[in-house]
Amino acid sequence: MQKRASGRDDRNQKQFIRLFLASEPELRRYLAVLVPNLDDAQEVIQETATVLWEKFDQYDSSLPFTPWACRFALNISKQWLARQRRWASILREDLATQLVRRREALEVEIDGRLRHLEQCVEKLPATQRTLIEGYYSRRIGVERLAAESGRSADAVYKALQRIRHALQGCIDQAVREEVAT
Amino acid sequence: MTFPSAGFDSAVAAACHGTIADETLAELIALIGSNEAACDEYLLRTAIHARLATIMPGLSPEPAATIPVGDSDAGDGLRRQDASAASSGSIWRALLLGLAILTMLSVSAFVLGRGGAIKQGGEPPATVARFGAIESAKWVAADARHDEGDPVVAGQRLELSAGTARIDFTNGAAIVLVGPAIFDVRSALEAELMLGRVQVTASTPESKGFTIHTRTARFVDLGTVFTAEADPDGQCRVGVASGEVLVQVAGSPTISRLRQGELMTIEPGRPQVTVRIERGEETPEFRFASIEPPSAEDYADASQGRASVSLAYGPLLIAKFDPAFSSGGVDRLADGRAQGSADAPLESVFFHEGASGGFLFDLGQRVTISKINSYSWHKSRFRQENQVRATQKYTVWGFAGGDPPAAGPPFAGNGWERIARIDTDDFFDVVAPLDRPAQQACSITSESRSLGRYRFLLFEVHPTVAQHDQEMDHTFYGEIDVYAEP
Repeated sequence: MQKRASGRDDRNQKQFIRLFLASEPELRRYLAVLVPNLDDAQEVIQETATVLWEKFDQYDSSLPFTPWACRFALNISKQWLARQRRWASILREDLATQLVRRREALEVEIDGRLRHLEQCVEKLPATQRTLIEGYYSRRIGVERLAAESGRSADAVYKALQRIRHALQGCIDQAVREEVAT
Repeated sequence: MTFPSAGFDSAVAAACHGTIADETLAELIALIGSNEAACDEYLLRTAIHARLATIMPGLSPEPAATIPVGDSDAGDGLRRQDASAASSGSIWRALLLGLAILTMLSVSAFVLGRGGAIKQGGEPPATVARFGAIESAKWVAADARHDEGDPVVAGQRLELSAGTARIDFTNGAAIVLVGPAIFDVRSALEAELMLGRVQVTASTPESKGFTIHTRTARFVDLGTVFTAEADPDGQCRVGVASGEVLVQVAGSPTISRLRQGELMTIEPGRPQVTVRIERGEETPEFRFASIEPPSAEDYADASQGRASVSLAYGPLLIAKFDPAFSSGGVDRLADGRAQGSADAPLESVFFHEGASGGFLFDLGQRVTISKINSYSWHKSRFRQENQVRATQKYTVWGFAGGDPPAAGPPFAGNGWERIARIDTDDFFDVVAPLDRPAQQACSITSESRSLGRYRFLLFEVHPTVAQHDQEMDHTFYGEIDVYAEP
């Protein structure tokens, strides 16, 4: 027999979904330091969402949601790293925490650069844009992207790396122009 | 591993892709733990990588078991190869999250099907919206009754035969459904328009990513107001009143970004066609926001000596008592200029009242059509409110061979390929006659830069009919420019 959500649960649920969805892009960026692969990150995000919902009664709504969520996300990502043996070395000497703190220290600078990312994506040639849209937005697997474009998977990985490199160059240029003006 | 080096570049990229070898990963971790510059570079690159995944949140994937857009074979291009891989993007995130929470709460589970959420248990599904203002609404089901404030739940189908109904979603998105329409509410962020017309306003941060599916495409809101329409034959249209909308045609990997003032029509089975419609400044220069004025440089212009235009069928208006009120000849359509004033019959081309008609362009050889622009201008000297004669309403067909089929309706199934259907009244959302711009331009293009390779273009012109008997019918077309390459 399934239990029906009470009115309070329903309100809580809506509030939680609203807060979580608003914070989720920031959480994703926060986690990227420790869990850069998107699929792995999604796994951690899902786990984080579950824990946050379980703990939602403890959330003080007078405080911002994102920092509260990031605290849990950090712990969950550490647990995830510990389970992945090959990543476990990042936990030694608490490098994981150091990385996160360094990311926070660079937040203004990195975010200032990322402001230019979207316009740089717009400037990409159509074929490159299609590739990153396929990979990042529609999350098509590399094997399939390779098959559709008649290239090898390695070539697609390389192409993605080159596109990000080009975007980084474009961002650098935009920042230089911004400083010059 | 050193920094900077190609090895470092490859290692960070592989870490992002999830393909990094154990040994390389250990070296990378050691490097970023001991070299501050390498650490900072790693942080910047992973930040760019993560941000790319959230730049276009609406176009996230769907689960392999779900067909996100219409036809059973049309979703192939959208399905993921790796079903176990997790997704990103607000729509699917919201869905997963919603399902996770519902599961936690032991509320009924839902299975997403083609028509939306299908309730499996005995418990009611979640309320995702509420009815707003309902005006003159007639619902298809005789026993259907909806009042303002009533809940709308995930999986609910709304079948409106007439009138309008506003639906306010919990995330701030609002849609106005215009009957006749069939509309499936899938979730707080997704709905499927099976038939009819909706106007979507999704301007809150929470509603960003609101998606309207049709049988042949999906439209993802990026904080905007847009109108979506779906016809029974699968054609659908989206027009952007403000902001931006992402459009993905079923089965196509390409994502198009439509901006304010743009209209895209999607013909089933055709490459996507973008139609831009703009109002002019009502001067003889025919200036528009982005569409170029009439040109003598296009492929079909008479001055280029490559193409010819003729009357395919239908009678042009010949005024018996005053020739000055007659239509000009069809060669006016390819003379590089449109009308010199707002009511210039002889400089315009228009059909006899109530009649349909067609213009045939013979491009001399098969060419790749990249763009078609059409221009109209009319404001009555006698009745200011009669602006129906600027409305452009036509279907353009193409034929590749050297011997065209009969140039008369019906064209479908007769060898002609439909390129686009135009009705500028739809775009300008005309309710009253004065809503119509007196000078209009319409530009038909495709993101692929090819509308097809054809020798013949046929413009099937539909009558535009005035509201009152005393007013004259039919649009004053001033110029049609066809841009093409051999």
